[in-house]
Amino acid sequence: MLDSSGAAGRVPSGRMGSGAVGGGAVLAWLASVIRQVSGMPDYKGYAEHVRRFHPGTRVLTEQEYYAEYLHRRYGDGPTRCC
Amino acid sequence: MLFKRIGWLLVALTGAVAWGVLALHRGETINAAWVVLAAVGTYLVAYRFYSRFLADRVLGVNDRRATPAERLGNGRDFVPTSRWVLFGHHFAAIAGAGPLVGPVLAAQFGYLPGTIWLVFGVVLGGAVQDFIILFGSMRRDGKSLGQMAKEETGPATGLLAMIAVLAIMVILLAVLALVVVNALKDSPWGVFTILCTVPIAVLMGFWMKVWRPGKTLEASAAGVALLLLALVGGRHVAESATLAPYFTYSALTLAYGIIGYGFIASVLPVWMLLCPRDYLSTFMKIGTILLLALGIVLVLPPLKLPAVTPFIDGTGPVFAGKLFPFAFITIACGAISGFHALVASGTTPKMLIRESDARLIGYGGMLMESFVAVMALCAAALLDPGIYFAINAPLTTLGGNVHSAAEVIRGWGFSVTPEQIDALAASVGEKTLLGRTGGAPSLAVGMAHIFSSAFGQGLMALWYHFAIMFEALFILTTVDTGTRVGRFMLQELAGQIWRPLGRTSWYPSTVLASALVVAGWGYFLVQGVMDPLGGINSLWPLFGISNQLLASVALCVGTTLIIKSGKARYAWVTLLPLSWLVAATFTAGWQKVFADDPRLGFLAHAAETASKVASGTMLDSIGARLIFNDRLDAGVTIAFMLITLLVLLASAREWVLILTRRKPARAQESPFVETAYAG
Repeated sequence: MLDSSGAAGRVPSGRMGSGAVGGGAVLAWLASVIRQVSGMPDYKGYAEHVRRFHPGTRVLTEQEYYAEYLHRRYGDGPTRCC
Repeated sequence: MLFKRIGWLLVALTGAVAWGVLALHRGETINAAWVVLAAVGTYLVAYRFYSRFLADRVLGVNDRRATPAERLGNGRDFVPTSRWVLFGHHFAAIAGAGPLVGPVLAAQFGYLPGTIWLVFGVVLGGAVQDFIILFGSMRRDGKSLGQMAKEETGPATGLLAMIAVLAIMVILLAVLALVVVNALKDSPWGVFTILCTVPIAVLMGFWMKVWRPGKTLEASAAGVALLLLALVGGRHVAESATLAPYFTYSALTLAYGIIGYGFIASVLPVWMLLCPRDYLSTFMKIGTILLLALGIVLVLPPLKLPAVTPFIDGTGPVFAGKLFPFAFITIACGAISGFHALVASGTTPKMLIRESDARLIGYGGMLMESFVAVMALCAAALLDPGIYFAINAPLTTLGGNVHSAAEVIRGWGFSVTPEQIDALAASVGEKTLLGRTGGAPSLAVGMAHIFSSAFGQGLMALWYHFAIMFEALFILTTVDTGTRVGRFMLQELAGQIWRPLGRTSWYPSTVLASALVVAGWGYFLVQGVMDPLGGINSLWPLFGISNQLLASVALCVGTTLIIKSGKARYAWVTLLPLSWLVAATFTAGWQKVFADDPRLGFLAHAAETASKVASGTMLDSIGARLIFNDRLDAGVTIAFMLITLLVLLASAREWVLILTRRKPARAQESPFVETAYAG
């Protein structure tokens, strides 16, 4: 069950790209934060995750991923409050 | 170490002094700074000490235990997310119109009762509920409140919780839609701006799905820009003699419009309308709340509303009923909200990296929501009391025009002139603000005051409509996502009777279930629009009661989780808010059904209407409809109370069985797996 390969030894910082510096990196970081806070889909993060931790599993196309995301977000149960 | 202690002592002292000032202050006005300081001081101390106690002693938070996000990480819903980002995400999901509208309505009692309940209700009740449910769901791989109720207390409780949620959804959508209708009736500026959000959202939808798939951020940026353009454009529409009539609608027309919109949004594919609107509304929500906080801190407005008004005796015009219990159900969301238990047991628990993050996100996120409610209260309390009541009292009470209104309001002991009421309406670009019940318009006037003093004098009208647009946008987003969720829940329930009805991809079932949900809340909405007492008077308490009863259900589940994990000696952390909620909510429910005052009690109002029909002062057909509505509202209230009572009894039985050792104290948690992340 445990996806530990490669992740061990450090707490992931969510999906904020680390390493790069400069204005572009700050902008990319900001975009990533906004995307995560508003619950937007993150196809790159998903694809990276599957390639890294589930090699051999087919990676959904961007369209498939988006459709699945919409179903997950609006498919069941309230996701927001009054 | 010593410095830290001194620091916390100072924070505690500041809060205590601010409460002292609020309690002892006598005079015309008081600065909002004292309210903000008292609230923030209390939040900080409660977060540092009480939430740590909950985390360490009561729940036994363990950072060596892998969270679902780590164990089940799939790059989709189970995604480890850094704590502050998740805090923002969770906050955006729990903050809605409830914490903004409730405190504004409860301001009829003065600013003090609302402030006290918001601050102490949240630290001892709301934040505890959110934290414990989030924690419980995290320990169960993100199970929903209903599933937890089912597993820990039995299948009947789970089914009851599910029916309760569906019923609450119907009332919630109706009352929120009514708030929007009252804000937009006869307001071409507001209607134009809100109508524009539909084509803007569809444009964004095609952008993200068809033209540039996945580019959600750039589409949203374009959407926000177009939205602001529509806001400015609305002024020209309102000022144009040829265009304005096309966008001027009565309350009833708007109500049918929203009902139609809700149906269409529920059957259309989500990418086309619902999802883009959701993004727009999230951005506007976070942006405006930050702006409001900044504005209040910059302006520090004096509050003109008295600390306590004479209306605590139950004679208030905004809604009927005494301070106890009605302050505690009118301010539902900002102090404790059952709805949060649904959000806290959905998406968020699947994204936590560490168990200890649940404290910041569950407890801290709810403190933030309470702070939003405190700001809304300040925005309403900075208005002249006369103006506040001119906007929030029903038109029938005010006599229909500014002269009669000023007369009536003076009779209540607040000074206001007809010229003042007219001047205010003109300054925000409206023909009239009289009798715009529902809280949104008076909040918008208060926010416009703050924004225009902080960020630009003379833009009062633009800021007012900005605030209206912001409220209407995310209320309508709740209406369309809520209708859809209600449709899914109904399909799930119906599927248990006849299998094909449960298939959410089967179009006839989708259309039928959507129509039923829309008809449900649509009926209550139209009832509210036609209500001679203004609609809010009956629907808002109904919503408050249902939301607080859901909170009682959540606290029952929370208590069961605590007792089952062998921590029965700490069960008071949930039993304390639970007893208060049950006392306040059942009293309110009882009074709404059986009170002798026709303004307060549904059945007394039905009897009064019947006697009016009998004496010939009311048409038979109108009377029959009003009487039916009163009985329906009474029935719904009783049903809510019965469901909660059943859940309460089932839970209490479970508690007794465990405490008397006739049943083992074993919680249905997922097994322990050691984390692979190094501290």
